[in-house]
Amino acid sequence: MHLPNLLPLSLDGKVGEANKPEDLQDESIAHIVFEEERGSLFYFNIIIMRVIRICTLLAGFVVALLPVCELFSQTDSSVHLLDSLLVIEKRNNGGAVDSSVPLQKLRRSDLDNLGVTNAGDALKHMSGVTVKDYGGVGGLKSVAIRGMGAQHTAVFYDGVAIGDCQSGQVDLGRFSTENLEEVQLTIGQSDDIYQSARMYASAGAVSLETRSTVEQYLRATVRAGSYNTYQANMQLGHPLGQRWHMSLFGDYVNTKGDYDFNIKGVGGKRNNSDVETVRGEMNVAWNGADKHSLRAKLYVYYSSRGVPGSVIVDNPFSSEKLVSRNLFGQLLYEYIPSSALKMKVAFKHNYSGDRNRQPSGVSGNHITHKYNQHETDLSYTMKWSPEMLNGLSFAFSEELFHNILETDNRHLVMSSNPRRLTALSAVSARYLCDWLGVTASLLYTNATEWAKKGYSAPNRSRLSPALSLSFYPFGDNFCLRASYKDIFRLPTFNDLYYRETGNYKLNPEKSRMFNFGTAYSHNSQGWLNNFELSADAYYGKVEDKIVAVPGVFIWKMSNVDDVKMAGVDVNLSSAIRLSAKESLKLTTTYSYMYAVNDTEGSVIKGDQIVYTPRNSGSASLVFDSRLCSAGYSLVWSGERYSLAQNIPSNRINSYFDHSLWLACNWNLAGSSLTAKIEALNITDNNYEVIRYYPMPGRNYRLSLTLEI
Amino acid sequence: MKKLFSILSLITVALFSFTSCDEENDSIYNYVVNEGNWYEAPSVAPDFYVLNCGNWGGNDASVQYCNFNAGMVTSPLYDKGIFAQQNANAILGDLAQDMLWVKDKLFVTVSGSQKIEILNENGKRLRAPIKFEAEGASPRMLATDGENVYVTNYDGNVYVYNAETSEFVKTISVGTRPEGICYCDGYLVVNNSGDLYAYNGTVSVIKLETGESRSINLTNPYTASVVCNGAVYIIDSGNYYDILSNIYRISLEDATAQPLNICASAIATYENTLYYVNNSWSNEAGAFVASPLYALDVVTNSTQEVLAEYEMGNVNSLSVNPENGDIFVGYNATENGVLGTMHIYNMGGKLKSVFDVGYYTCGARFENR
Repeated sequence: MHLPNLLPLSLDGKVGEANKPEDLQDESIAHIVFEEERGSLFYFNIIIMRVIRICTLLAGFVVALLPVCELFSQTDSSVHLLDSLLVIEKRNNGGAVDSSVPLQKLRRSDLDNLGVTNAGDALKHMSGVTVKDYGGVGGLKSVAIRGMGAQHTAVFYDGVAIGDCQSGQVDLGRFSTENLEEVQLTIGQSDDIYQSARMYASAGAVSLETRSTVEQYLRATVRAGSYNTYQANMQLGHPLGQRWHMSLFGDYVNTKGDYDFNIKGVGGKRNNSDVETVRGEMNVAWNGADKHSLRAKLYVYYSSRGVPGSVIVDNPFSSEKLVSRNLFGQLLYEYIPSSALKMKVAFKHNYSGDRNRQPSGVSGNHITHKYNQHETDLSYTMKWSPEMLNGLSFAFSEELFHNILETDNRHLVMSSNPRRLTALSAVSARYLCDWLGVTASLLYTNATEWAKKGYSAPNRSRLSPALSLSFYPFGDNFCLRASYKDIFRLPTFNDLYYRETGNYKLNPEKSRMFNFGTAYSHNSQGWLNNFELSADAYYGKVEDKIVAVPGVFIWKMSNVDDVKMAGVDVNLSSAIRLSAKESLKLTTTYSYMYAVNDTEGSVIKGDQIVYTPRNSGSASLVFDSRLCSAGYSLVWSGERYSLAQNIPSNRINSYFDHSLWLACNWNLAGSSLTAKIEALNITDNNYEVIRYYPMPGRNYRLSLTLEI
Repeated sequence: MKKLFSILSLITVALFSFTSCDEENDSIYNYVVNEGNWYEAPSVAPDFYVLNCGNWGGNDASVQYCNFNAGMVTSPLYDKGIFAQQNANAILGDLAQDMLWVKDKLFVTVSGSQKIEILNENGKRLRAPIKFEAEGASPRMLATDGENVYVTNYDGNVYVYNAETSEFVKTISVGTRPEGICYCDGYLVVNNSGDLYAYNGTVSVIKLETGESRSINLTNPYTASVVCNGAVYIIDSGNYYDILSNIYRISLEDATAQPLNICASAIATYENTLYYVNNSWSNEAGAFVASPLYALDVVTNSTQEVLAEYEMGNVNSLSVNPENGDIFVGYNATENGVLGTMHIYNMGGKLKSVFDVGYYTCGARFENR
């Protein structure tokens, strides 16, 4: 048995040691490896910083828990309830003009108008993103921002980070839009400094927000569509006394997904595309004494789906299955002792398990791979807006999360059950006045890694700054903005440990992004009652990009590529009042993305990176009247390349996906019944987002929604 | 009316902008892949072919048709190569694995597409492809005794196809996931790579006359299998982790495997010489490490480096022209999704020619393998 010798590693330009098997008896997380071999002052600073961070974290929790103790120890039964308090911050209505970084939102009505049923499809209507879509109802949908790779995009569900330590990318196709109130995309560092440290730790963030109102409501939808697709969901909100509110959401989807296709002269019917999904969610909110609130969330997801794979010439066989389970719960406590100070503590545990049944390579035989991930997350956030420093706010966030991947040793032969403990500390400040907004933040990341048996990647730490400015020279309606963010992403467990391809010597992938933009908004009571335009130009670099490098029989993940990107994102939306009862809404987005390989000496230097169109965009037009509404939506993409070399054989054609819908609404004794018919991809084009994964052609959906 | 005009203007501008943007793409993506001359149609008879595996799930396997003296090499691209050109733009398929020239017919196994294509020397289909219609029944490697073609298949069998009558004449059951195969002096030697991730491979030694089959336990005998000076040599690829690859000499009489204690990823043979090269992952280096090209005289057991102009690199295939001993070395690009190259050296290691090949080339194929 030959065991490779371990040499001191050089990771991320750092010097350290891999955690050797003999080291694993001592699973101390205090094993510190620094970014670079630097002077003793640097080490001293880091140690001081860690001590401060740990002390502050402890202090933070103590401070946060004090009012809870106070609350439960109080004997005064005369609680004074305040009416709902609306805090209005100047220039903070959430529009693009109010943000110093690109910010795009799709609200409930937008989601209805676009005819999307999952978050992945919703994001196709935003600029600056590339959605990889493997087609069909069950196909993976991942989102990459400005060519940086899906692993650089963080996804938050009601403020809860949805992590995947195994692949690093989140399947947004599994999040239904039915219960979403808003889908928000932030590129760069958000101006909202009162947020968990993980919001600072990515190049961009997708935030999915569910309905959070406290009144009583019921919304139920049934839907039927082509390819034997059926969906039913119900959302129920109910107050429980004066202080409690509970909401429930259930969603069921079943489809055979067996659509016909014809691409490049290869035709047939997609098989093994069946999907069955059940999703449930429960939210409980408690608004206690005027300073306290508590939110609890429980989310359950189960899906069983066929994995049809790519279309293979002359081989229609496909039997791979994937069963996924996801369960997470979150508890969020918030304490607002004064208008100048607020703080929150959140705890989350997330379990996800996949059972992947694949052909074994022997005719008729299958093998089932098991993957379980656990993530436990504890975070503390505090914001202080001192009255004596008008317009200035400070925030501090601390987050500690622990990931573990369990799988059979067939896949993690070098390391079994790898674990990672990540500590994030973010300090930030924001200044806002009539003509200027400035947000600055500094994130310190420390990741410690070990495995139950075998090798593990060395520990890593890094400081990541971000700065953004917004300038309002002509009042609130027009802004000029600039921002910079330096961030990195750690290699995923698949990158590091997966059998045959894993490389535990990988460096993190580093990215830097500059953004310059402008936004204008206009609101009036006239015929053009809303108009919003934003345009942003950017330049960025990704260094040490992690890609698979081919060998003879195996591939290995390696840091071989650099990528540079530059581009422009434009968003336009306008609402036009046609009459007292009729309106028209037009939204368009356009992205130009020059994202090329920038690796010195590479034969593909200057080539556009894979699956990244230079030109892409979307449009929607909605006519709304009191009884009926109708809409048209378009998603289009220019040509892309399926492989790294930009040659014609690797080119994928551009596509246009046009859809139409008509909805009628009736008010029935305080309730609302909406019937909607949709014709999707009306040109019947089996276009490919990913090569040899054809999208469904023309298809139809009919839905009924009851709201009380 | 003004409102209507404004609305129509907005829509027109938006739609026009989409059209014009798409048109711009043509100029942006105007890229010339190869600076050399690639012939799209065969003008002279071929003296060798190059088979390119292609990308997994990419349906981009290809065959190149070559005449060395004429300096002719057809396109390595699946949609511009000789197969598409000769067969009405048909696609060869997914993951070509092996090619053999028997009785003026080219047999090509296309593993992902689960079929065998039978072509004439120009690459034109002589008949409809032979499809193996069961999931996972993927044809892999080929061997011949001059009359029959032996095809390993992941369904655990070797299929025997008579090249003259164009019929399957026999099915021989072997081990799990058979890969490389050799015919030698009335014996078939079959590498069975074993269960997925289990590394419990075996080698089957089958005496064709009697049907007697014996098995040798190894780790991961894979596709490489050659006959040299009347003996069969195979590569056991190890487990890519702590069991290293090794070349074995298979004894046909007593069905034993003698390790040569040589790490290798590709082998080829010419007369008494066994050429080998190793390109494997090094945990120490954190990179793939390539070895020089060695020539082992199996009679004298002496080894020497093939020096001169040999370039160490990401070697994916090794082939030797049986006519003159020229060595054909197929290199993968070091980056995924980039075409490979083929270098032709003479026996002294002098570089004679370089040309582009497709993705993950399986190597050159000659009339007498």
